[in-house]
This record gives sequence, structure tokens and C-alpha cells, in this order.
Amino acid sequence: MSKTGSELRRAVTTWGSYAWGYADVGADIYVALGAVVGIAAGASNIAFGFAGLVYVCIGLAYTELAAAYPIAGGGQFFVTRALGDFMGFIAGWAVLLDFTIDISLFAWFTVGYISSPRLIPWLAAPEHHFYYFLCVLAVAGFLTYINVLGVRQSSRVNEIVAAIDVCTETFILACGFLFAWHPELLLNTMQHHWPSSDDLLKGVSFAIVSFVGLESISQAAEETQRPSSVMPRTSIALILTILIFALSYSNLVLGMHGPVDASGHETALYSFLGNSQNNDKAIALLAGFLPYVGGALAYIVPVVGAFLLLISSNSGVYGASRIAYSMGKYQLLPSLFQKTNRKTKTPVITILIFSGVALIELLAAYRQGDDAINFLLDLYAFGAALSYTLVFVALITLRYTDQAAPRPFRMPLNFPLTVGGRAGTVSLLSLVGLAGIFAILVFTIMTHPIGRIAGPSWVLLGIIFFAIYRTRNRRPVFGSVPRDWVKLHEQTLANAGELEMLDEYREAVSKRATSS
Amino acid sequence: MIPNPIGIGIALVIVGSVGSTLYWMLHPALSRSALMAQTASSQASEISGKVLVVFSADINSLVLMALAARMAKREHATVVAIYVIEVPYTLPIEADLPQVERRALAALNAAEEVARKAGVDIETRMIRDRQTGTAVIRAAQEEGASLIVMGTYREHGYAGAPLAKAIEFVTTHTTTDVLIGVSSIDAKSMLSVSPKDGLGDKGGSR
Repeated sequence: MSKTGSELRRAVTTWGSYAWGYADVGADIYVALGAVVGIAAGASNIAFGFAGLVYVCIGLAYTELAAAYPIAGGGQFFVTRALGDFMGFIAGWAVLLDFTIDISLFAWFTVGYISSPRLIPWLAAPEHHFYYFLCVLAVAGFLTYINVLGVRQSSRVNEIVAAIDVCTETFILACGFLFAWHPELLLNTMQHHWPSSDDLLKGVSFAIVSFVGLESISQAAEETQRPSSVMPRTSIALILTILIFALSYSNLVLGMHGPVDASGHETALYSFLGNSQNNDKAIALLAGFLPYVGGALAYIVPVVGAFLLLISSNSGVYGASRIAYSMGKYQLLPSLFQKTNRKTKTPVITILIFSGVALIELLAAYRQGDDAINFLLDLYAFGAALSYTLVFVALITLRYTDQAAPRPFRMPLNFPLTVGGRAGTVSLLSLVGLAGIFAILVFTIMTHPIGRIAGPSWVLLGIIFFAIYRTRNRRPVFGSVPRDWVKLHEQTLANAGELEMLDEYREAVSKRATSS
Repeated sequence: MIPNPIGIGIALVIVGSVGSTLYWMLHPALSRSALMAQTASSQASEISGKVLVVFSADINSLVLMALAARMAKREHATVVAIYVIEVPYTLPIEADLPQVERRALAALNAAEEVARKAGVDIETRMIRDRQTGTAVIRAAQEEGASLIVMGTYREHGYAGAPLAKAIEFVTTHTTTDVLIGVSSIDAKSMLSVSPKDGLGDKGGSR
């Protein structure tokens, strides 16, 4: 008797899929708001608006690709499928950079929100900066430890935290616009505190950080019920929610009065939230300024924020190991990254390697003093912009090279275009998104003195590592390992339970075989 | 403090758009499998035990699957749904049978939907064997099942000889309780046979 092992277990529901993404992207606004308003000042809403436009395009691109290819691996898989192993490696390597930054950056902000005035303000004092840093290391170490032990993050926890956070943030924004927002102050701040072009560009590249992590939804594709039907809905809902939050917060901050100092002068709220003392807990401080509800929110928001950030940091630890595992499966990384510990059944070596990278990033950030957060954000923005750029190219390429794959969702505004004798369609939004994210990549390299060196260095290091690995294993460095993509795709659709899509795909493939 | 009209408008837009976005996301059209699961679940009544639900070319009843899921839920047990692909002796056991595998996947997917609706854990397996009966016996032993559920639909009062053959083999070769269900096209009726109860017992009851 022979058996075919089942890969049909799908435990992530519609809300679970949304919460999975929200646990990653939802935390970003807690990180980005302070940094963006600190640098883009009166044009913060413009910075968020531009990044938001690009983010909508990125989100739609991911939605199309994740629905068509419901397989774990996300951007790295799409790029490998479209552009081959070398480019797939670069995309995956850039995502790995972001996941390691996830660990360090969100651990940093977890401590930041804990150090809010109503929780443990002692930690926020400049003279206690070293203790603050030790707490950050403790958070990252704790997350590494529980992942090594194999304590799995429950999908239920994500769902509950996402529900609480969506309600809390909606409440903050509604109360803010009702009781504390002044449209004339918004216009005044925009007119009199407009930043320099350099700062605006830098603000845009930081603002994209508030939208990084949509990848998580496609990472969970193989565990999601009917992924090709569910993921487009959850992705679009996530895009809209995060966009509403980011645009609303930036406009709220610019239209609210700030604190009054000892000499009776009012400080602009954006400048108060954006300074290096406060930018690691901006939303908690903002909530505390709201009339009527500020007193209670000053306790609630830091706790909710810290918890969401902790989950997001944890997603960096297991996200890095998942991506590395997936890259190992496609021979983009050594099989070492696929090995699991016999006792704990977890990829201990992978977790320790990428947590080690996160530790190095934390130490490097600590050495930057007041610029620590900017250092981490620089790298985060670089990794995201690079991988998203490649994902757009993959999307456009796959529209031509894999026309048989059914696409339950397509990016809108398509126009026909024949390339190299092949007829196909291109979405106008994919071109807008590609131009936008490429511009952000250029802004990051132009305006971030550290990001411009550290980011490309990470990529260069990866390429050297990849070349050595592939050469030693007698596999092409710039070429691809031959794979049966049709069989893999059939298997993916079957495992995902997308049987109608499977039928459609088989029909398209046989039709193509007949015509050729 | 009196809220300004623009602020009120923006606050309403934020609450409305977040709420309507989430409502839209959580209310998708039901898939074909989900609809099938909904119909089947409504037909099910209470039963008990850890359950092995069998599907094959001739054995295929979602009503029985739904019954098994409800029973497993009440007993905090797991449902194991298997689909047995009978490979003819003229072919190697690993022979490529895409159409049959496709039918198997459809049945197991529907079974998963039924289990999900009932809120019960399910494992699914696709098994290749020369005979359905022997595959069921082995799977029941491997899984430590406390109950085997086999069902089919009766068309024009006749459930078909292949099912009867499988029933005879399974009930005579297993010590596990067996529940056989034969429902009409509208899935209303059900007949149970249990070795323990002595119904159809050919000497294999526990």
C-alpha cells in the first residue's frame, strides 16, 4: 500500500490571514510616525501620501501574485519564478535583511513604548540609554530563545491583538479628529514648516517603512483556507486599513496643538513627536494629548503598541527562518538552512544565524547614538525598496512568461502590449508602482549616508556567498537550476484546495502544448 | 470643546471606511465546497468516537462525513478522512491517474470544509491500494480509529454492488466499529451497521 502524504491542512481563516499581515504591517505605523514627522515636518502627510500611493500598487501586485501562486516564499519565489535563481536570490536576500531588521527595530520600539510616561519612563531618560539598550537585547534574545525552543506564535493571539489594535487606532483617530484637530492649524503647519527637498525625499523613504510587511500574508499562503480566494480580500482590506491609518495620523499630527514648555511657548506637535527622545513612542504620546480620553489612552496605547511590536519582532525571527528554508528548497541557499534540530524540531542554526545578524545590527545602531533608529530605518527602507522593485519586474514578466497560470485577481488598468513577439497585457499601476518604488530606492541611496553603504554592502556580501555556494555545488551562478514549474504549480494549487484553478491551469497548459 | 464640522466628517469617514472594509473582507461569497459543507452539516445528527471516514470511487457521502465531524467535536476527537484510489493490477501502484487524483482531492477538500464548519480537527490522506477493503483495514489500524464510517448515496433505491463488497470485507476483517450510511439523493436517510450491535456482524466485532 502506498500513501500520498496530505498537505491539505489549512488552519488560517479570513480574519487569521488579515491578522497575520496586520501583526507585521500594523506595527509599522508605531515605528514610522515619529521618524517621518521628525524629518518631513509640515510635509509629513505628503510623504505618507506618496509612499501610500506606491504601497497601494505594491499591495495590488502582491495580491495578484499571491493569489496566482499560493505558495510560501513570497517575493523571493515570485522573482525566482520570473527572473531566475540569481535575481530570486537577491530578492530573498533583501527580504532577509528586512526580517533581521524586523527583529532589531521592533525590539527597539517595544522597549520604546514600554518607556512611555505612564509605564516605565525611567528607561527613557538619556542617562539610562545603556539600560534601555540592554532591554532591547533582552527582548531580541527572548524571542530567539522561544523560537529555538519551538514555542509557536498562536494565530489566535495575532487575531486578538489585531482586533484590539484596529479598534484602538480607529478610536484614537476618531477622537483626535473630533476633539483635537484644527484644519487651519494643518494648513498653517504645512505652509510654515515645509521641509527641504532632501528632507522630504528622506521622509518619503521613511514613510514606505509604515507599509512594509504585506509579504506576511503570502508567507502564510500554504496555511490559509482557499488562499486564492481569501488572500485577495485580506490583502486589499489590509492595504486600505493601513493606508487610512497612515494618512489620518499624519494629518492629525499636523493639525493638533503640541505641549507648552516652561516659558509658555507651544511646541509644534510634529516636532515634539519627531525628536530623538520621543520618536520611539510617538503614537502613545499622541494619544495622551487627546482631550477626554487621553488619560486612559496614555496607559492603554503603550501596552497595545508594545505587544503588537513584540509580535512583529517575533515575526522577524520566524520569517527569516521561513524565507531561508524556502530559499534552501530552491537551491538559493545551502541545505544547512533547511536542517531542523532533532530535539526541538526547529531550524536552530538558521534562527541563531539571523538573530546573530540582528544582534550585529543592534550593536551598530547603538553606536549611532541619537541616530540609532534612523540607521535601522535606512536599512529597512533599502531592503524593502529593493525587493519590491524586483517583485514589480517579476509581475510584469510573469504576465508574459506564465500566461497559463490562472489569476483570480489582476491589477487594474490593463493595456495590451506586445513584447518580443508575445502578446500580453500590462497594468498601468504596475508601471506606476515600479517607477515609484524605484524612485524610493534611489531616494534611500541618495539621502541616507549609512543606508547607501550598509544596504549595498549586504547585497554584495550575499552575492559573494551565493557565488561560492553555487560554484562549490556545481550549479550556475547566473543561470537557473532546471525545474518543472508546471508540475510544481499543479501541486501548489492542489495543496491549496483551489481545484477550479487547477482545472483551468491544466486546460491552459494542454491547450498551449497542442498549439505549439 | 465643540468639534469642527470637517473633523466630524473625517472621523465618520475613518470609522465608516475601516468598518466597511473589514465587513466586506469577512463576508465573501461562499465557495462551492463551503456550500456543500453547509448543506451536509445541516443534515448531520449526533454520533460519537474517533473516526475514520472513508472515501473512494464508490464510497462517497458528505452527510456521513458531517455526522462524523459532529460526533468527533462532541467527543473532542479527530476525524481522519481517507480517499482510497483502487489501482488496477494491470498498472503499477504509482501509476499516473490525474483524473482519479483530482476526484480524490475534491472529496478530501469537501471533507475538510465540513470538518472546519463543525470546528473539528481533521487529517486527510490519499491512499493507493489494489482493494478498498484492505486499505481501509490498514488505515484503521494505523490511525487507531475507534470507528470507521463509510457512506454512499442511494439512487432509485439501489446503493450499488461495489459498496456492498467493501462493506462485507471491512465488517468481516476489522475489530473496529463500523458505521455504514446510505442516504438518498436528498440525503435524508441513513442506515447504520455496527459489529458491536451485532448488525451485519460476521465475527469481527470488538
